[in-house]
Amino acid sequence: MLKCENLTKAYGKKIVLQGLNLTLEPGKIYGLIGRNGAGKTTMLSIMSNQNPLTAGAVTLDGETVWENRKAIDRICFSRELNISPESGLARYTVKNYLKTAATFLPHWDQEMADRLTVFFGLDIKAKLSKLSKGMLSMVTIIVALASKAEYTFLDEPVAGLDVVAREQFYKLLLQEFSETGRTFVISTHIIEEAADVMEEVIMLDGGKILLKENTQDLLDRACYVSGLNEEVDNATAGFECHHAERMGRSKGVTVLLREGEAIDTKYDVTVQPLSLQKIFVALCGEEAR
Amino acid sequence: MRRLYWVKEGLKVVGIIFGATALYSLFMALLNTDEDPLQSFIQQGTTYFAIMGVLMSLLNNMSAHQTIIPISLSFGGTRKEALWGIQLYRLTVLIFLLIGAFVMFGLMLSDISILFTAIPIMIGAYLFFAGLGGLLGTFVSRISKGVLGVIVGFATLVIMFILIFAILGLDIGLEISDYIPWLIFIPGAAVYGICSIFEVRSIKRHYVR
Repeated sequence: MLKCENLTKAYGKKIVLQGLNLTLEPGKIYGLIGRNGAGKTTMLSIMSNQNPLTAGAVTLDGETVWENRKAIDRICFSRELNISPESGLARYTVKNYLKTAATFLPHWDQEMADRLTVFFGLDIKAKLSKLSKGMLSMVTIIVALASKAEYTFLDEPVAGLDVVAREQFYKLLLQEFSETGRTFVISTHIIEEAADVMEEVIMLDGGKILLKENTQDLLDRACYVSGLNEEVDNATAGFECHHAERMGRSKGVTVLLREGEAIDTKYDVTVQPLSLQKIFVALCGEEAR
Repeated sequence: MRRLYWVKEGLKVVGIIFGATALYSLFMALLNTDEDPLQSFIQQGTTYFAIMGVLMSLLNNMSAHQTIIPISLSFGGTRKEALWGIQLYRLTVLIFLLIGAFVMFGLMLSDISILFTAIPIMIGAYLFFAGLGGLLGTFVSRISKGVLGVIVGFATLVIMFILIFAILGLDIGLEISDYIPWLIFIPGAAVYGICSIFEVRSIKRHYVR
């Protein structure tokens, strides 16, 4: 189990993560969603020893991850590639980059890396600086899947991928998951597509975890209640409401029902299910009025 | 396996030094029609080898903080491994520079015992520029903290040069030329040591962006 306890990260006076507590159980696919600047990449980089924390602890089965070779060998964070001239990656070819990955990642599956390179149609002799954004995403996907790490983090793996490539990625991910039971954490902005593969969703906002829940359970308890203002207010009184939208005399509110709660049918309101994306927008948008 | 990464990166630098030296030397030797081409090539080669050695020592150690160190960390290397790895990288380059110098100067000199006297000079010069490159690399990657490091680094250099000239200016009844190799080696090693302090601090807190 990978645990973050009271994880805090500050860059100077700017606090990016605040007292974050998170447990990642093995054998699940987690979706990590949050707005730009919420702290998703920072959190993943701290959990994989790429970034020092300011306070708190990250442990893997009770052992501190920070500078611990034994723990780090079980984690792989495949992040978006920075191909600026000063990064040094610009001069790497796909082959060299994957070779370097093989050097550092102890469980590297070269056969899988070769197979995926062919599958995605990548030219291994091409320099990373010459690849499109989508192709760079393919390289990060190859590193993530071929790493065979117990805990694998992917930061925006589908950025720049066309819809066909995205579908291919999700199939590969599910196939790898079903064969190995590895734990994946996928940070993404394309929520609706990823919702089908995410077993649990983690929503990050302002450096804090808004919620961490089974995706289907969240979808089951979230609903959109709409109707006349007074009717909606009466129907949703006492419930957890988010993101009220007013349209003249009508109103719509996102409601997260707790166990045992239900919208009373005596009120003249419309209750509709919500997509994960709409739930996210409701939670990370304005507060209910 | 991970140590191989640093050795390979060091060998890339060695390749650039030898390749550039061979290219420039050949070019200059072909232009110089007055002397024997081979002799000219060897003579030019020693000059360019020294220049390339110094240049690459400085530049590659500077760029290491933006390239090989972040790459190693992004693939799960620890900072401790990076600290030792950068020493291995530098050692790889130094070994091949010494071998290259021995070969080139050996072809030119009749008395190769001079080469052994020159070893402290070569190592001292390499350590000096490698340390300076590392310090400047630290400065580039950690600008606000590096300013202090650069100031201290340059102050150290100034003090060292003052000391060297002061020693050379003293009439202490000793044959100073016997001590020149060590007068270069010791300040070089000292500069490397001081610059390494800042480099270690920087790498310990390095984060992948």
